[in-house]
Amino acid sequence: MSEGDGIMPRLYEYQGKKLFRAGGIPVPEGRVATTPQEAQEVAQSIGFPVAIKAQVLAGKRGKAGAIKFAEDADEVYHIASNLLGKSIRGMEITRLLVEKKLNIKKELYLAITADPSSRQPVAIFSAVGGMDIEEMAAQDPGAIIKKKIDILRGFRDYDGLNLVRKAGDLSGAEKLSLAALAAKLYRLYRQYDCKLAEINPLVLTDEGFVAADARVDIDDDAVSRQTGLELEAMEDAGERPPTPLEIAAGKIDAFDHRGSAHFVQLDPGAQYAREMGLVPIGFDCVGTGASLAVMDELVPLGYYPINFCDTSGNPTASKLYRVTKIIFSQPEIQGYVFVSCVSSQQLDNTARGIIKALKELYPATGGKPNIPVVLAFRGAWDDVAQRLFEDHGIAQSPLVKILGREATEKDAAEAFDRLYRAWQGGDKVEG
Amino acid sequence: MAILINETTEVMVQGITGREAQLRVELMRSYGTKVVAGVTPGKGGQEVMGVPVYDTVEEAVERHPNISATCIFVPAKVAKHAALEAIDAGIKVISLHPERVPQQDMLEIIAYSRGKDVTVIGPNTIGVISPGKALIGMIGGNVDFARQCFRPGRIGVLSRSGGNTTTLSYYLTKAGFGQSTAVSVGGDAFIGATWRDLLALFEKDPETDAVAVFGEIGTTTEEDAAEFIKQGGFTKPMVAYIAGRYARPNMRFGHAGAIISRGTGAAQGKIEALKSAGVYVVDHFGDIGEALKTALSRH
Amino acid sequence: MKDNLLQFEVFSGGKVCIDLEKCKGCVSKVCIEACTGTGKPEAFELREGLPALRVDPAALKKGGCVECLACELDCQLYGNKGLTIVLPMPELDHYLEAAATKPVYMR
Repeated sequence: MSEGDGIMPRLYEYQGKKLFRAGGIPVPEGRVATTPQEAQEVAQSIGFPVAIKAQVLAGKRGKAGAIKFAEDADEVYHIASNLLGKSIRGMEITRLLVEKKLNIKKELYLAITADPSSRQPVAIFSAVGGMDIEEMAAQDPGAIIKKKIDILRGFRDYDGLNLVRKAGDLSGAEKLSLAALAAKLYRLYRQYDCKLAEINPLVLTDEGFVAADARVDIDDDAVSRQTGLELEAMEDAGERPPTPLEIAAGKIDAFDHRGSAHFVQLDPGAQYAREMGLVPIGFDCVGTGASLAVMDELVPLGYYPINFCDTSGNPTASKLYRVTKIIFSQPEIQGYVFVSCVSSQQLDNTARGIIKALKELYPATGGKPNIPVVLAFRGAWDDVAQRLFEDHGIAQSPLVKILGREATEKDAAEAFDRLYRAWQGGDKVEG
Repeated sequence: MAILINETTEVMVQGITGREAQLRVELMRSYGTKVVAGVTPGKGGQEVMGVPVYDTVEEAVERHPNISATCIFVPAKVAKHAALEAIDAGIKVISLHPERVPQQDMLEIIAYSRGKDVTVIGPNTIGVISPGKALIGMIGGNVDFARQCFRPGRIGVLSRSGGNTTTLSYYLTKAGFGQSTAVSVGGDAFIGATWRDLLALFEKDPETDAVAVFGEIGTTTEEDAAEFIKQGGFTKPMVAYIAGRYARPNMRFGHAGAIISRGTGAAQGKIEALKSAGVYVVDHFGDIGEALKTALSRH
Repeated sequence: MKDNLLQFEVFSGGKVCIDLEKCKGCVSKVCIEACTGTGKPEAFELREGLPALRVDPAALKKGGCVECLACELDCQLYGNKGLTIVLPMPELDHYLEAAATKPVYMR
């Protein structure tokens, strides 16, 4: 899942803190443990009380019960045994960060990211940090201070001071200290090609400011030059771990640069579709924009594409063959829709790939599927693509509709709706 | 006239000795684009399909002082250097084709181009076409297909989706509207020329009567354009389709830019922003040609 | 392995296999021209009445075969079904073996 599919390499907290420490940003004393015994050892070496933090990439870990505190070794063992092996939002806990519990006087927020509108790096500061920063930003935007940074000029000391000066009850020394931290965070943001470098909360203790958490998102397009980072851990860093079908699909593009077949399960298991009362279907489009536009037509009619698939860049027929087999292997689908944007890629190849897949999936019927299928070929060699489905006898199936260049996204969705209704109305193939 | 490129534009290709660039040179020349020079460091003195190759952009511009546009077909990791070199040499239009240009490289290119007389299209763009005049990049794919889908006319086209640049133009062509210039602005979160920048060019272009756009979830492109229209920066009729109304928050697609983040960038907000600026927003992409007829008749 | 089998590997991982015994009974020899469809470089030629490679298999494996699948599909329609293309997907096979719910095409 590292093949340019928009999954952002995100570092675990302990990895981010390693970078912080190297960059001169204070972090609590602590180490990673993978067993309850190890957690005890770490706790004993740093002294009690300790914080035990599950290393998963889900947000709001505090609310999910993934951050606990312990006063003694027994408690550490108990908590660590409870956390390890559990899952948070589908991500298994295999590592714990055991650190010295901080004596919190105040929680603040500091981050560097890129501002979408001005297209510049922006430093963001709030004198009120902690778990609910996003809610607070929505309620009280004035409490969030932003300072755009000229990327060619770099971050200057006074940028940091200008960022924090509006925060009311900070002493002069604290402001200087925060400004220096902001400069260090900016350097880290630049050095590691971050999309986001965030300290939330940034904690004021008796010993000064300490980064109690670290969120570092690396630009996946810059990973190749960030060779110093722990890449292995970044591979699996996503919103959720890749599914077996996604892993299988990932192999299609891995060794073959000829066009792409990018497959993601939007709704693995079709739980969302069922909750919404929508019919789960398999889905493939040429182009991301086409996917969105076709989805806009399908959902109001009651159909939910449970996968996203982009087969663009003039992929080989064999890529289409493989990815079509994967799409059809989602057990929940009750139909399949393919639409190309009006594209110059060789749609005859697309057609051959899909035909070979259908013929192998449905050997008894010569490729005629047992669920409704709509294919809209729009673009170069679209006439050949349509004819191939007729030549192979698949277009003649009552469950199949082949459309050409004249079809819009809406036409394709409505054609599918008609097929599905007819199928439900009596033509349904017994399963 | 059109915007950015026309039949007199002299075009350079950076990275011309690469396999992909050569395919594109063939497309551009057969469409009528004047490709006069190529640049690949270390390969100066060679020729690619009759086009002379130089080591640097400066050298290419010395020999061909009328070059005003470049398309960059270099690997993503060196795209920044190629773009900065073109900006330093005074190139006016830069079409940046690589996918996966590092975000901070793009922020540097944007900062470097700011205040200079240069338009950076992309990255991750399929290019620009002024139908019947010239195209740069890979737009249209092959010359026959480009001629089928894009017709000369008076409608400007902007699309955040490469593929749907063609689909949108085809829908317009089908409804009887040709295009003055169609621009694939690039699918990334951080692009050089935004809709706002390009609407300003279409506003000044006497050969553009109206603009049609394809937008999608993520970024603030549509919201910023709506603000620009409200400020009076663009006064011609505009029709739009915004894709992704049923994308769930945090649903991630291949486009780095198509990410809904922190409550901004959702389709509904974009649609409302554009409507409040007087833009005709259609519910179905395929209706955009008909909507344009209405927009033109009422304007 | 049969003696009368013509095989070559393709770039994406997989094989084109031609059972020449079947080709003896084939009238159309459609695979020869199928490869000129949209694909290059026209991998096959007829030699003593049977399909033979006119391109080095190593070159085909390096991407010389563009995997358009036209030879196989045309052979199935108009030929003697002697040409098959095997494109393995071990990860998918493993998934299907382990899957609790069978996909719709197996029902």
